[in-house]
Amino acid sequence: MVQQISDAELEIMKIVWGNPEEVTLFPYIMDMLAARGKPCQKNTLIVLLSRLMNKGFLSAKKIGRRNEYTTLVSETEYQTAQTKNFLNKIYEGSAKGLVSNLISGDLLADEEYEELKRLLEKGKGQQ
Amino acid sequence: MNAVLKIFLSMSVSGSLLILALLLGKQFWKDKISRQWQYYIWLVVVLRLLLPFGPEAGLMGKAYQAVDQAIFRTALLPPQQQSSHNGFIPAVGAEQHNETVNSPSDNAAARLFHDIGTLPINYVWLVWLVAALGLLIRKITIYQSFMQYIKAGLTPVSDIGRLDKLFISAEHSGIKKPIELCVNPLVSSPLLIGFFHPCIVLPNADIPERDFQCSILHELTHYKRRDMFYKWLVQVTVCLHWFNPLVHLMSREITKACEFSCDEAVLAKMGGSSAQDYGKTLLNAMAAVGKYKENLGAVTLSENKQLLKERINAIMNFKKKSMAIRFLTGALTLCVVFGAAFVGVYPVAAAANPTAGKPQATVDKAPAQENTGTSSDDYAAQAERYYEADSLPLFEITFPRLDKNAQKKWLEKFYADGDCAFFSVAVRWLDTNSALFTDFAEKAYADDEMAVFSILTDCMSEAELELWLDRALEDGNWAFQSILFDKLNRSEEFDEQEKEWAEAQAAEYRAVGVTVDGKDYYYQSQLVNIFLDIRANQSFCTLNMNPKGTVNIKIIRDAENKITGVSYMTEAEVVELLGDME
Repeated sequence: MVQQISDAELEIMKIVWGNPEEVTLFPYIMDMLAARGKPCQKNTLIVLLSRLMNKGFLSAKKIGRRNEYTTLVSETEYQTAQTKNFLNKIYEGSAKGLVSNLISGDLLADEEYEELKRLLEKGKGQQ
Repeated sequence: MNAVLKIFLSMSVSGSLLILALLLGKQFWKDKISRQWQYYIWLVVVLRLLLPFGPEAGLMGKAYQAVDQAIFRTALLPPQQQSSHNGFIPAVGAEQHNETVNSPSDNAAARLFHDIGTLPINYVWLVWLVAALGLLIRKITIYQSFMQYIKAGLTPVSDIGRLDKLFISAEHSGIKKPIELCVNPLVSSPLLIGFFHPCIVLPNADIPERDFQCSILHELTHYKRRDMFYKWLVQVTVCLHWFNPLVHLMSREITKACEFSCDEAVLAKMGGSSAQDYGKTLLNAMAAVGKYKENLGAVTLSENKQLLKERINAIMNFKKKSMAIRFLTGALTLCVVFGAAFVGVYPVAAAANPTAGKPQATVDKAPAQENTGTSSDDYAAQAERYYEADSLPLFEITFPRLDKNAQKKWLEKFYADGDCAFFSVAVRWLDTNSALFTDFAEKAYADDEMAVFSILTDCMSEAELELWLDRALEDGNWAFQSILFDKLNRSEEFDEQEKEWAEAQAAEYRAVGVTVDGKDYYYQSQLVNIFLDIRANQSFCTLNMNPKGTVNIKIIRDAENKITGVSYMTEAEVVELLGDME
């Protein structure tokens, strides 16, 4: 069960997920936050990171005086969990409702629509 | 263990004196002296209540010696007096019946009664300890359940702006450690929880910027000053001194002083102009009435309404203290600290059980002597004074500090005066191997001073006792054998010896025409009423009385203790003897 995280925490998770390196270091997150135009105090980040660790999103390996953070929950896992949540809340668990809403609400660009269609065909072929 | 309780009681009493002094003083300096000082000065009292150190010449030492003296008299003297009767007034003999010296059994009985009397007293410390532990456990469980209650509804504040402000304030206050910031709608006012992972809990995150700033600063100040530890130190003190209502009062005073001084520190940081804002914050915090009793253990922004009123008054009158006041504060601090040192505690050496106070204790006492810096002349004068005042415990404390010559002089004086009580407390401090000790033992043995010898045997080791016993057996010194057998817990052997001795004695009596049958004495076939046999050196006597008897006789002995004859007692002799006994 993936826990809920706050927006600020999600911001940090996105930085860690987006990091091509295996492990993420504290200064990297600080820099990235500043680059995204959301700078914060060192201690604020420490507190947010420790909350993420408590929720099981991150693990930290102490090497000397610096922490190496690794993700325990992948971005996809998180998205899936969040989508399920969203589905349950808004569409009573019906994926069809969501997709039809996406189409009828004109929320999909043409390319996206084509790609989804191909994905559906492929999924059918596998079954 | 009762000694520990005694020390604690003395700490409680001296602490109480300080508490009273500070409470009284508070009336004068309430608004004049820094609140910080008024808060931290209690630490001196708390330390006084917890630490059993202090100069021995302290006030408590004196008071307790006086108290102890009284206890000593009532509790310890009776058995001692008993033993002195047995040996020191030989003419009276105290042996109403045939048994010439029955002091051992007498003493045992007296000791038994004495023990039964002191039994409940011996376990008072247990009651105290159990109550203290119980209270402490109760406080901890209440705190834990409160923590659970708080933590259950805790939501972390995710507003980065607020968090940033918290840490900017923290940095200004010199706090480097990250602090959690959470919201729990169940708490009535902001509070700080956690010793090592601090967490500020706000009742509500959507509070105006100013309120937030004030609340945060207040709690950060608590954290910075480690108020949690102070609070728990006070709680432990209260648990240990649960029997002292003044300590409970002190705890409440400290809680108040804690908030006052915290307010003061916050205002000093924010500048006096912010007083109004800060006061408003307090009022806002108070608007939400607490749903849970959260005074214990956590450091809150507001404790109760009455206190709040006082605090707002203090906040509005806040101004920096002048130089003169600061100087005065320093002087006052010194006064309190010296006061705390002066009232002192019950001297540990005197607290030790007097009967157990073997000479080894002199080693422990040596450094104390240096500390107090009193010269031996002073001690000599003191000893003199205590002796004049007939104060046994005080004399006992002073005696080991006297030099060897003075000790010898005193012992000789007591010996000559037959002052058993003083002799016994003094001789306890001697080394049994010292020449002084052996001299007195020899002297007592030679002089047949059984009471003195008995006191000396109290201090002897088993090996020494054995040596003396061998000697007494060799000399046929029956009375001393009795003492030594008793001390070695070998009374049965002594009983056998006694039987032998009694037979020998009966044979001696038979030679002069007195026959002994059990407890009845016959002289010229008449039953004897009063039978008196006083040894030449008056060391002990045999006195037997049988109201059914018709004649009063006494054994006549020569200078070598040999029985030379028997004579009837004159009327005058009988009157003198009976008068003596009453």
